[in-house]
Parts: sequence; structure tokens; C-alpha cells
Amino acid sequence: MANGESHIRLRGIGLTFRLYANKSFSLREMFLSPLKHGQQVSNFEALKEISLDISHGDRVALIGPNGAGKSSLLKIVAGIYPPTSGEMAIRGRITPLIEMGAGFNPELTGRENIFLNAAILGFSRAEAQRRLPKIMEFSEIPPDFLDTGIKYYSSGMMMRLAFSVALELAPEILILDEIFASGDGHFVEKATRRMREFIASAHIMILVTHDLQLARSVASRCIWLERGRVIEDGPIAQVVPAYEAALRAPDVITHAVGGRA
Amino acid sequence: MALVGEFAKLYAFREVLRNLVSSDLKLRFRRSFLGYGWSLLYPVLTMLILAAVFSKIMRFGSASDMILYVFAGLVPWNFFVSSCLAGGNSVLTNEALLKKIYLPKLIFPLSVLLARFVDFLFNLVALFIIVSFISFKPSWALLALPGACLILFLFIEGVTVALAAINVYVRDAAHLMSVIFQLAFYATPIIYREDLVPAKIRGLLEFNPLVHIIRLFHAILADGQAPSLEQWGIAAAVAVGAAGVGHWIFMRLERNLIFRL
Repeated sequence: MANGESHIRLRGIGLTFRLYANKSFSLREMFLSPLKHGQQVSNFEALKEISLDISHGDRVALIGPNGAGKSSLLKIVAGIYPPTSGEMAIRGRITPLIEMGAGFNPELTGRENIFLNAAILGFSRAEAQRRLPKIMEFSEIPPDFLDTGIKYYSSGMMMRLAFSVALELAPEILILDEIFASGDGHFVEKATRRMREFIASAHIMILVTHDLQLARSVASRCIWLERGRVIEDGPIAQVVPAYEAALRAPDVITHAVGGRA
Repeated sequence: MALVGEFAKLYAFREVLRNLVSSDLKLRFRRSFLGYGWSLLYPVLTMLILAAVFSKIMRFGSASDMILYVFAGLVPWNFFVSSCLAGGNSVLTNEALLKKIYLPKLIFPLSVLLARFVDFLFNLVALFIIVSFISFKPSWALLALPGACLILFLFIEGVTVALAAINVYVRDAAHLMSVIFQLAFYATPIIYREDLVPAKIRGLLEFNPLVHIIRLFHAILADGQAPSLEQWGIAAAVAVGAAGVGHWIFMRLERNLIFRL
């Protein structure tokens, strides 16, 4: 995949969700829909005319009220949602850390899951093989569990494995949606430390968060999104205070729509 | 051209495809004493039961001929149904993963198709084992078998891929399909010989695309003859047509699939 500099370029990106009463229509609706057309679909514009350039080295915090379109924007960048309008070009290996362990199959063993996830994250089998010892070491999972189905793992072990896989198989463009490790204190501390190294070594990092303190500590650039538009984009030291000021003046921010999962 | 793009994306994720196919095959017999042995033993035992039923209970003509004929049709049929049913559901089954990470959606129906193809090959071996005990005259016609398998594979690929996308949009499709498959089973000469169909309605069989493909297997395995040029031509056209239409449907529906999950 991509070598060298990573880059994200968005031009006039719009995302319109069609809200269906029922996401898939049944055959009955298919035959009836011509009769009652128009009342079934309503549109919701999650993102409007977003143009952004995020370059190699950028550490971006994406902030904004619930329903501002932060997660939708991440999903566009990650390629999960195709944009309704606009152009985008992305260079760099990108995988969202939106939810860790997403690709885990409980029936497979720890080792098999590591290989499957490595493949999903774009690594070759040889590369996964090379990193396997580090993953196991970091996760602190006893070696004899490596070939046991992960459905027999404790929830703590499962979480540590997911986290270790995600951290050892870091993408070039790192996308984080409010995730920080849970589990026992010692592991959280270790994982948080590793996460910071990991943020430091990523080509690009985009973090969605409501924790402005966290945003300040890991990001240098801040994009304030509201109702699908970019309100402000600039150095974090400028944007966060402006956002905080707006938060204190409740008339300015109306919590438009409930967050989308 | 778009199809080339589809397969280029797929090539980048070939490691994921490989992992999905191998875990599909591995998981079925995991923790059973015989393990992989079952993939051969299961079809052998099923066929022995059928052979016993056909030779002792339902006697039409020479029992061994009938057994050979039934198996020659049943083995490809089972590949067809198992791939279409599981593959048709495959995008829906992986909904959670697809919402979190970008993966070419074609990977899911294709992984099911490939795993079922491996089953099919085991079934063919089982068929040879069984019939070699009954009466089997190896003939040069067997050299045509790979060609028939390729045609069968292409046909099933088209149907599986199309169903995988359609099932997301029309949730009734899965239920409808299992009924249609039952109908198709009796509308295809598998447990009866084609010449037993009353002449008046025999012509209708020509409209069943599967008939043209099963005929190749009947010719090669049951009659020990290479199919005629005309039979090859029609079957190949049916298969290429199904694959083309199937991929076309999939590509049309793929872009907005994620919003319908």
C-alpha cells in the first residue's frame, strides 16, 4: 500500500442520509410504494460541503456537539460511507480504530484472530507472523491461550488482545473515535502510554472527542464541526477556547440532532 | 471495466479472503475427533444412505445406473444451494464488521462460494469412492469434468453475488429463495430422469438455466460421454450470463449497501 507521505484531501463532501421507516423494504412495500411515494423517505444532511486538507504530520481533534457529523466524517474518510457529493483523495494506509476487536470471531483461536485482523488491517501474513510475539507480549495473555478459542477468554483478556492487535498493527492514518482502554488500572496505564507513542508515530491522527482536555494534549489542529459544517479550523489553542465560549453561550449552540451511531 | 476495479480491490484484500475461507472450513469440524475427515466422511455416509434407499426401496431400472445419475446431479445441486443460501446472507451476517471498517463487500459472498466449492470437491471425491464400489467404468469423458466444474462455479458465483446484495435491500428475498430452491429442486432432473418428464412439458426444462449445467454432469458422470458441443455452448453461455448479470447487480447495489444494513 502507500509509502511515503500520507494525505487526506476532501473537496465539497456532502453526505445525505435517506431515512427510511424501515431500512430495507419488504416486498409488500415494494409493490405499494408507487402508491404512497414521497412520504416514505426523508433526507437528512449529515455533512454539507466539507473541504479539508489534512497533511502528513497533522494531529487533528474533531470537536462539536452531538449530531454535528463528526463520526460520519470519520466514516467517510475511512471509506465506510461513500460520500453523496464531492471528491476525495486519500494517500496512506487507513483503518479506523473506531471499535477494537470489530473483526474478532469468537470461534477462532487467539492466533487465528490475530491473523484475520492483521489481514483486515492490510498486513501480509508474514508481517503478522513477525509481529505476533510482540502482540502476545503486550497483551499479557498466557501463551497457552494462544491456540484457544477466544470465546473462552475472560472479557479482560479479550479486551487486552483487541487493544494489543490494534496498537501493534498501527495504520499510517490513525482514526480514533473516543476510545481509550478500559480494564484494570495497570493495563489502562500501559495502553494509554502506548497509545501516545502510537499517535506520535502515525502519519496523520484524527481524534473525535468531547474531552477537550484530551484534545489539547494530543492534537495540534482542531476542527470544530456543527450541523454538518466546519465552523472553525485552526490551531488547537485558538479553536478550543472559541468552542468553549460558544458552549457557555447556550443560544449559539443548539444540540440539533441526536448522535448517530 | 468496473468489474476489473472490483477484482483489483479484492486482490488488495486477498489475505482477508483467504482467512475467511479457511476459518469457514476449519470451524465446522473443530473439536470433533475426526476433524477434516468429516468433510469426506459426511458426504460418503449421506450418499450411502441415498444409495441404499434408491437401490432397495425405489427401484427404477438398474439401481446402480440410477444411483450414479442421482449423485451426478445432486453433488452440483448441493453446491448451488449451499452457496446461494449462505452466500446470499453473507453481507447481512457481517453487518457489524462492515459498519466499522472498510472492506470490499464482494469478499463475503466470494468467501462463502470458495468454501462451498471446496466442499463440492470433497463431495466429488466421495462420489467416486461410492460409485467405484457399485459399478464405475472410468472413461475419457472424465477429462471434461474440470470444464463442467468451471461452468458450474461461474453460474453459482453470479447467483450468490447477486443474492448477497439483493438480500440487504429486500429482506423477504431470503425466505423467498428457500421456497424457490425447493421448487427448483423438483424442476431440475436430479431425482428423476429427464426422459420421464411427459413430452408435453419437457420443453419447459429448457427455461431452467440449471438444467443445462446439470446436463453436463449427467453426460460426463452418469453416461460416460463427453457433452456435445451444443451442450457445452449453451451451458457456458448460461454461466457467463449469470456471472455477468450477478456482478452487474452487485455493483449497482454495492455503493449504497452500507446505508441499508
